[in-house]
Amino acid sequence: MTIETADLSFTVEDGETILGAARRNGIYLPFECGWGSCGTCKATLISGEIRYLLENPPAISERDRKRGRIAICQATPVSDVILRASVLERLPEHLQTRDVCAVVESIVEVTPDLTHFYLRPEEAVSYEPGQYAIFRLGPELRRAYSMANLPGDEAGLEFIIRRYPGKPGSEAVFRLRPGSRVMLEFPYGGAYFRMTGRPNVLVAGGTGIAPMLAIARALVARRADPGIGEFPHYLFYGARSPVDLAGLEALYALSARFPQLAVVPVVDVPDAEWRGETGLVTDVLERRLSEPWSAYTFYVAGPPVMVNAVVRRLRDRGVPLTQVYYDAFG
Amino acid sequence: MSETKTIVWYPTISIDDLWEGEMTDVEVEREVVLLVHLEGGKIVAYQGICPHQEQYLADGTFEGGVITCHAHLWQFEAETGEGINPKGCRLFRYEVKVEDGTIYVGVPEGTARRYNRCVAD
Repeated sequence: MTIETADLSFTVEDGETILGAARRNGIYLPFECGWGSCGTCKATLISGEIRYLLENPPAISERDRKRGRIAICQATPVSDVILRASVLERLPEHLQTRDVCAVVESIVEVTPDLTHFYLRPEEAVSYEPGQYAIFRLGPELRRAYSMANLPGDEAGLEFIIRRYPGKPGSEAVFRLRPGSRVMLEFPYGGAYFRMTGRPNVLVAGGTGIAPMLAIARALVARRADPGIGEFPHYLFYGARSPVDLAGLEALYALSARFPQLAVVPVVDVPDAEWRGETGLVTDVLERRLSEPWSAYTFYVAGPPVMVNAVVRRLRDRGVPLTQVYYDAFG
Repeated sequence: MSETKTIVWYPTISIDDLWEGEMTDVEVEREVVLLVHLEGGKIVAYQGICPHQEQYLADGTFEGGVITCHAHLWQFEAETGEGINPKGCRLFRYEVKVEDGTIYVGVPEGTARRYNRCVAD
């Protein structure tokens, strides 16, 4: 494996990504999502052959294929490979990603489909609220899950994971037991909490609640800071039905400690007791946000269909897209 | 654009391959360049990669005078390269000329960086 532009060579292990191998060798290549979605890590394949751990990374278009551009965060060489890529002197502050071994501490089922996993990393880790880890669950089996709590939490790293019966990634996670060891690549993602001096609107759908819960916790932890305490903030949380709203109690507890944080659950299918909002989260935003939308910073996480609908609505309402943070997952 | 700089012209595609209302991209001197055939007949050229992340603008849409990146919906005025959303973010613009049915892209000599970057704030 050679990087032509920098005259660097290194070895990639079987089933390892080019990005991961470079990092292991102290060579820092640009990346952000680690999942083949954002395109930050695209490099040009000069010679050799690769294959993808995740087939058809979303960031790789037909144009990329024609030009020989590959996503090195999902690519593993199948022959000697020469790449044209830019090399960084150091990793950006929020992406000091490395491999960390963690032990499963406890597993708590919260809804029939959603389970909280608590993992204790074997060394100190740091990340920004809203970021995620990639779990190595088996040979070439990797999945990304967001941390739902803040770094340094005594409970360990908290993940909220949905069970998809029959899907290999999900099955592998749900085979974990307390005491199991997992390798994590840690952390990834650009949709992390920033101090922007604006009120914050968090929009979560389904398991997208995990990173938004971490950001909500950051808001509460920093409620005395200028730029946080004086504003109203919102967390919109959409799910199929009331029973799917995992972590709602934790959110209400946060709101009780920091009343400026309004928690607004939204369901598609209400039950008889439901008193909250029903329908599309985009419409609920219309009903609830009081300021001109460009006054807010937005964080969005959830199923791609929801994330895209929300981002489009924000754009159409004149929110500068530089004030909207989300990690696009195809 | 500085008048004193020498422009080096590179032939790209035939104008017959880029109809009015269409955009595509080409590689010029190791940079991806977006070619846009505006309504009314004028052809303009910009950096081919979105200022936000490594995504081809030609993978997006060109409608109603607006270029939209497919990845994160960033939008630019096709006529000027000026950011619509986010504002204040402008595409690097190349000079263009058409001769004998071929579209030429002009690269100002000595310009190391033909690629504007904008990041979220």
